[in-house]
Amino acid sequence: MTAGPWLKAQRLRISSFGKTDPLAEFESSRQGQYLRRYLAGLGAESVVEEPNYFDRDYLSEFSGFYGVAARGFPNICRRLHFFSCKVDRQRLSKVLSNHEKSTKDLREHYLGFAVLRPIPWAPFGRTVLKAFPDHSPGTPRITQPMREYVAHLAGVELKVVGLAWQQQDTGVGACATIALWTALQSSAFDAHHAVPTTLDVTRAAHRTASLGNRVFPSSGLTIAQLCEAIKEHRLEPVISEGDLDIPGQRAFSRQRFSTMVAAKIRSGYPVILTARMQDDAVGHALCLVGFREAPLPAGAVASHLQDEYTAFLYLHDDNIGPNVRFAIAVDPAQGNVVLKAAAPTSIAAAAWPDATAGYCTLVPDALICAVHEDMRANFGRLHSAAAKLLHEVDWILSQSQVCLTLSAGVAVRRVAEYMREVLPQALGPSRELAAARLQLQEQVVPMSNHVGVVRIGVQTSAGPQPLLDVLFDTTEGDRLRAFCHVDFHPLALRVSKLLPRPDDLGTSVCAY
Amino acid sequence: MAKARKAAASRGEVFGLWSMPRSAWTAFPEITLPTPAELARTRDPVKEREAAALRRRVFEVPVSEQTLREVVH
Repeated sequence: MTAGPWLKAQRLRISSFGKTDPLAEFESSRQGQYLRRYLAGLGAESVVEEPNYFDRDYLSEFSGFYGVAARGFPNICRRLHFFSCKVDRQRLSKVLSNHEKSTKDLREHYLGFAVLRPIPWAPFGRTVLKAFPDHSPGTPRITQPMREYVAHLAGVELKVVGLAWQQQDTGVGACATIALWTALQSSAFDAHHAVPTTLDVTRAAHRTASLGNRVFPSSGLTIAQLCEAIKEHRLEPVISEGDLDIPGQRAFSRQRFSTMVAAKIRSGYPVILTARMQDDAVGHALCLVGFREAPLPAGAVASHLQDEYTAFLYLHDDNIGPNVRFAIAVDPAQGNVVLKAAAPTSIAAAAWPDATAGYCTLVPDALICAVHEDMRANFGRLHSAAAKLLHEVDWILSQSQVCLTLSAGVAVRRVAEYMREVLPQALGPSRELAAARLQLQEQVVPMSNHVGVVRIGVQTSAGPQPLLDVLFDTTEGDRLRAFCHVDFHPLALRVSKLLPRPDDLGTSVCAY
Repeated sequence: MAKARKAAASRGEVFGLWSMPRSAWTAFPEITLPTPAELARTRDPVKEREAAALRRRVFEVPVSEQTLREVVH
């Protein structure tokens, strides 16, 4: 038996980030340009290439599609690791010797990885890059769906927090497949299931809703197929359609779009956005992975839903790359939401061309989410409940001669997360935190695993200060039942007793 | 992040509804609330019905068959 034309062992290739690194060969593609500029913005200095890397996703694509193509595709990929420090062979050797300080240092400078598939027209496979540092902790970038990925480089464990992105190949996955593949990687589903490959997603989309269409090559999916694919993964699809009619499509008002998107992402559910590309009216699917929390615009005095003022979204677009910033704008002629790519100025300063410049405007028409099976409450109904409570509290306070501007927001969280993360974020380490946690544990009826949280806040010079949270049962669909209300101020309890049906807010939990 | 928020509070930064740390909280003014009877007298059922209809129109939109059939590429 001869060695044959098998794969050969190869050295790791280490290069400086710049004109001659391995990404240079993809400079002509929009995705290649975007990734280089993004990495430049992250301060990338070095690239380590694994010339032989078996990628789970590509192997799955290979077994289902490329393996029988006459072109003779190889089944192996390359993987690039990016670092924001100088890496050379000597430094790497020190890390591989388990030198503690060097290892820690290299890990701190790890920016993420990109798999390069041997598909000439769609080389970018699973790519996970960290987000930019957040310079506005007051109104933070909310990226709840992001999770930790672990990569191994010659036995060294490297970790990066992000959400996987890849380019569509139109063989195994079109944009809809890729958007759902990203969504199913969310941190919200960590304990739920193994992450499916693109092949699994496309096959799941066709299992019950194919209507005679062939599975591969996949050039697109219907929204019904996306929903069926979600159900095949033991999750439930939630569709939110636009509330406006414009010529040729449904579209969103700003209030509906911004509040729904923000609430879902805050809940850890990435949002698959379907939109028309304004230039050619083609339907496109993308995955929304984050947004920038909105401050109240200067001069606003009316009570409002806080997320209505969201200005920026971060989305994975297979046509561009991961974490692409888009601005939410309103079409002046028709009043509907449109999305425009808006690279942050810190990146614009980098010396690389902006791949998002000139990218078409998107007109969103529907939002699709995969949620846990026990999460049966409708986000629309939760927002309706929030708006109603806001209206009632606002009305009661307006009768008191003191002018307070209120705001409200919605999230769905596990009870455990609410007690572990949401409450401490508001109360900090304090006696009040301990008391509220104990009351939630001992005095409130048993709550559902996921609770709908409606928060009402009072506008102060530092922003909206929490007044109360109402925790709703999410297991009974449209019949929203409040388990309890957590009062952050004595005023909350006094106001709650004046509501038309005070018992509707459940048990009072004192957090002041 | 908690440290960053605390530092932001000391710099006087503006916060969002879910991110304001306790160190940035301020005392509310003293408020005398109306009695339930006073509230009952001033309620306007017509306005409330209009507000409810608006909420339903924006947030409780049914999904159409046409949307389910839409193809995305």
